[in-house]
Amino acid sequence: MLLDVYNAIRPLMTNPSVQMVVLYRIDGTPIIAEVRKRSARFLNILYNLENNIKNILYEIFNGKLEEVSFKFNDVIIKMYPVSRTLVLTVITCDEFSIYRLDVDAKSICKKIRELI
Amino acid sequence: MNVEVVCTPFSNYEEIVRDLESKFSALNIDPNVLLVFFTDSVLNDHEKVLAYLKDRFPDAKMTGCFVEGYTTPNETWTSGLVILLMDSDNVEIFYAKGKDAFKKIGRDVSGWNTAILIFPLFYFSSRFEMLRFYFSNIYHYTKYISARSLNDKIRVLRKYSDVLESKYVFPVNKVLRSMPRDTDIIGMNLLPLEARTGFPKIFANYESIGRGIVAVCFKGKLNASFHDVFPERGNSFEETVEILRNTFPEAEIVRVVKKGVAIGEVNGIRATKFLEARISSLRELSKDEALSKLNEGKLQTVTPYALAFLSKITYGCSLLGLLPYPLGIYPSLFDTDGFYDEALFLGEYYSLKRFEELFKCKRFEDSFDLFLIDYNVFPMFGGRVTEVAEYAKTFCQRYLGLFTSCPSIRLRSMEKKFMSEIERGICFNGTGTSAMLEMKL
Repeated sequence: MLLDVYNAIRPLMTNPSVQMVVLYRIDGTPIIAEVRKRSARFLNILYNLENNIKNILYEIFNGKLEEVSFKFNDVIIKMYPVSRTLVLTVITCDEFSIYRLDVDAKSICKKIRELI
Repeated sequence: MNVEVVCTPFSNYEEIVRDLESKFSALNIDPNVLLVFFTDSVLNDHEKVLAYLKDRFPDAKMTGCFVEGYTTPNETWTSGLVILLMDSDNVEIFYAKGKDAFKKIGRDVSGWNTAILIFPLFYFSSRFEMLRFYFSNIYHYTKYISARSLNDKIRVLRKYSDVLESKYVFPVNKVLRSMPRDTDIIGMNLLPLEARTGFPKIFANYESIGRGIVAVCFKGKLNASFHDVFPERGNSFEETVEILRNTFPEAEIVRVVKKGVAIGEVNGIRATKFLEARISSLRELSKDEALSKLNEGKLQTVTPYALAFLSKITYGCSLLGLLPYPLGIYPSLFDTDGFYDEALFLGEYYSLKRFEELFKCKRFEDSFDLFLIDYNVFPMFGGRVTEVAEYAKTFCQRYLGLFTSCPSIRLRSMEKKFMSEIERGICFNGTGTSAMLEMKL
């Protein structure tokens, strides 16, 4: 099943503006992480995310939020709850096409929901 | 008629072919017509994909273009591509380019029940053409501001409008007007959300046709329908203004000097300056900024600010978006000659739910439905666009939905007094439109 979930998120990584896609469990453990290229900058972001992920996930599930986004300079982090226990996190550099990312991410969340 | 839809969200050639091949092998169809719709993510590899499709279906007639996104009963994507495969003797594809393209297509379309016309609203073939457009605009604007009387100004606008029509703009209402009366026409008038040179790309027989036009003609049991998100229009200029003011309370009446597809001034100043004066957060782009954005494919073509022109013939209205482009004379996407000189300046907004109405117009139960939804829903509603798929699922069994620039229509008879009906039987609006073709299976 993990392979099917991985295949479901792969189309997002073919979008050149997407730098990283991570599927987090509610306790903050990354289940799947796909990174475009290794860079200290994105590793730092990932490290910061891991430190705060539990609180963020708590807010998402408690506030029943549809999505959450953060912006650091030109890096945008978008988080989409997939189920009561999973959150899809996408890191992108292109603010201009963010609406496209939203649509595709929602489609992927739906696919993952069907798989699990 | 046998119809199947195959899509892939992948963007690179190898993944696309792998995904398509596995999906094709599961199909039970020998298509003789392919409609291929690419999204921006396949821009780099689309030629290779076309070559693959040509090799895979050598005898099939093919057409297609770039769209902003698509939805099928299983998924909604803004990446990859979608293919509509048809096995039918009741479908034909015609295409033409050059000066008399529309006359030729008009002759070809005659006698068919319904046709989908695919054509660019605005097209720059190259960076050189873009520069030529810019300098021609400056030249005509200099002549415009030095004109002594209104008649002289109109004369300059008429001349510039002819230049625009001959090289860059296909005015939607003129195109639809030139089509035969015996055929229902759905206009897929293309203008990408993010403009770049050489775009929108339209294909026929696996090749790009540049600034040309394609007609996909259908016979058999069909139903073409249209819907817009606005309330019904009034029976007079005043009535429609009142309706628009109730819908957009901030709307302001302005006086426009215009001719053909050229807008000279709005309330005595050029359109871009007028926009800048009304919306303090907007700043006019410099020539270099506009050119570099165009080169990068990031020149925005959508805006919430628009001029609503009211038709003298039907009292309907069509919106023309205003953007802070560095232009003296502002180009229109439709012929403004049949419109009043008084227009409304407004900021548009509407509910996504209004698009559900399109599906309520459905006539056949067992049909394949191809519908077009205005792409303005992307910047307006973002991820909520997937709700459109939910509306479609409620009413349609098999369908393909495309998100593309505000579709237009010319029908032999209208069911409603659409706000967007700007000439008898012709509907176009710069935002909020949708159209559907039902093909009974």
